[in-house]
Formats: sequence, C-alpha cells, structure tokens
Amino acid sequence: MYTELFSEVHAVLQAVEPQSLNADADTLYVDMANYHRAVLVVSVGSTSGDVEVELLQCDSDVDDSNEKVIEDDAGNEKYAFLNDAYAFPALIMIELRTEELDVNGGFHYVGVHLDTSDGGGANVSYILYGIAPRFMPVPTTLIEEIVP
Amino acid sequence: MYTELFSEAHAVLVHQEPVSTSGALSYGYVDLSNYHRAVLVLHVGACKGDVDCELLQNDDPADPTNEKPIDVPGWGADKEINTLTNTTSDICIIELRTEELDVNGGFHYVGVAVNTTQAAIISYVLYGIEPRYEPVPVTLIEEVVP
Repeated sequence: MYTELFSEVHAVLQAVEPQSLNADADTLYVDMANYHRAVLVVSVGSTSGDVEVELLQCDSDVDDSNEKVIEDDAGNEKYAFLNDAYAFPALIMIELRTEELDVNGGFHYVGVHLDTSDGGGANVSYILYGIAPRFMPVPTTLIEEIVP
Repeated sequence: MYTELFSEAHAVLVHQEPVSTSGALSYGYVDLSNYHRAVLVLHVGACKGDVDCELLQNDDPADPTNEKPIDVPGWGADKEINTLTNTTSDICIIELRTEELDVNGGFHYVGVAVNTTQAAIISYVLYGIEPRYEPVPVTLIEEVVP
C-alpha cells in the first residue's frame, strides 16, 4: 500500500551487524508464524575466501538438533554460495514463502547458516526481514531509529 | 502483493558493502523518478566514535554543489538520523516519499551521506520502492534465490 512505511510492514527478525567474520555459524531460530514471507539480505564486502549462506528450518527456536534444509520438489535449497572468484562486493537475496516450510511437521522457525571459514574470512552483514505480516504494524524492536 | 518477490518490488539503488571506514564516505546520486518511495537501511557494527547519516537531494548528479537537505514541511527535521555514539550493532531506517523532494525545482536525485568520527564498520542499502514499473532492475544484486 502506498501510504504505509517500509518499517511498518517489514519486520527485522534477525540481523548480524557488519563485521569481519571468519566462522561457520548458525544463528538462533526465529518464528515465522506471523509472516507469510521472508527475505534474507546478505551484504558481502572484501573477502579472501568463500561465502556460504543458507536458510534452514527447525521445529523449535531453542533446539537446533532437528534443523533441516528448505527445499522444493526439484531439490533446490535456499542456499547461495559465492566463491572467491566472484567480483565482490556482492548483495545476495534469499526469498522465502512460508508455505515452503514443513509447517505440517511443526517447522515454522527459520535460521541463518553463514559460513565464511573457508579462506581468510569476509566482511559481511545480513538482515532477515519478515514480510507480508499477519498483523501490522510489525514490531520494530531491533531497529534503533526510524526517520519517517 | 502477496505473490510478488521482495526483489521484484524493491530495487537496490545503492549498495554500500560492509566496510571499515573513518571519516566521510564518498557517494553519488541516484534518480528516484521511477519510484514513489525509497528507504535507506543503515547497518552499523562496532564503532567507538560517532556515526551520522543523512539523505540529501540534488538536481544534477554531476554537481554536488547543488545538493541540499530534504526539509520536510511540518516535520521540522531533515532526513537524518540522530548521531549514533559508541555502538556495537544498530539498524537505522530513513523513509522517504518522493513528494518530499523539491521535484518542482528538479530535485529528483538523492544521495547518502555517511560520516564517522572514528573507525567504524558499516553497510547500507538504499531501496527504491513503490516502483512505476515492475519487476524492478536487479542489476546490483549478485544472486537472488527465489
């Protein structure tokens, strides 16, 4: 809708601040129950190695032992891989419709797996937005300031 | 619209990758004539000093001397964030409706001015939204996983 603000309909669900990262790390899972869609925006700066990023699903936000990939019938996962031959900087977007999750199995949490450990690390940041929310305006808890 | 992808309706107009910087970041201007709205998402990592950020308007992308603040009547403030100081992780958002620009004066270009007083690692993305034509260009996106 034209009159709504971006920050009223795009919830910041999870973020990693810009940093030089040399790690293979999962983050905590966030609940997608109140959002029909999500998008992960990954910003990659200078790097000396590969960057892998993937959205994973889980049936709990505290126990990642049940986590699994999100894949369609053709086996395509919510996964992006940039090797060091790419022309950095790069911006990656991973789109998600929540019906792609195994919601019948209770998998309505998603998490971000970011791996920059193959090489010397990379300058990265990302934000996971929940969009098409069930209720508006969305929470702005993770936003320091909004200039309307 | 529910069926559209984020990347079909949100054009990445400017992408500043995560960079460690001290001082003013250089910037250019982008044309907003094909978008009814824009939003700047500023992401700040570790910083011991101050971080300032402002959206500016211009009528000539080749001439920065014409740039001026976006002074919204009735709002009483420019399109700038309050100074961030000694932060470790902050996200700030600046919203813009293009009717807030001085379009009658030809000011339909915007730029992002970021200044830091000490070393800081920052990134930002300026999105053009509510576009006149969809899908929007994805030129600045390396990869979209649908």
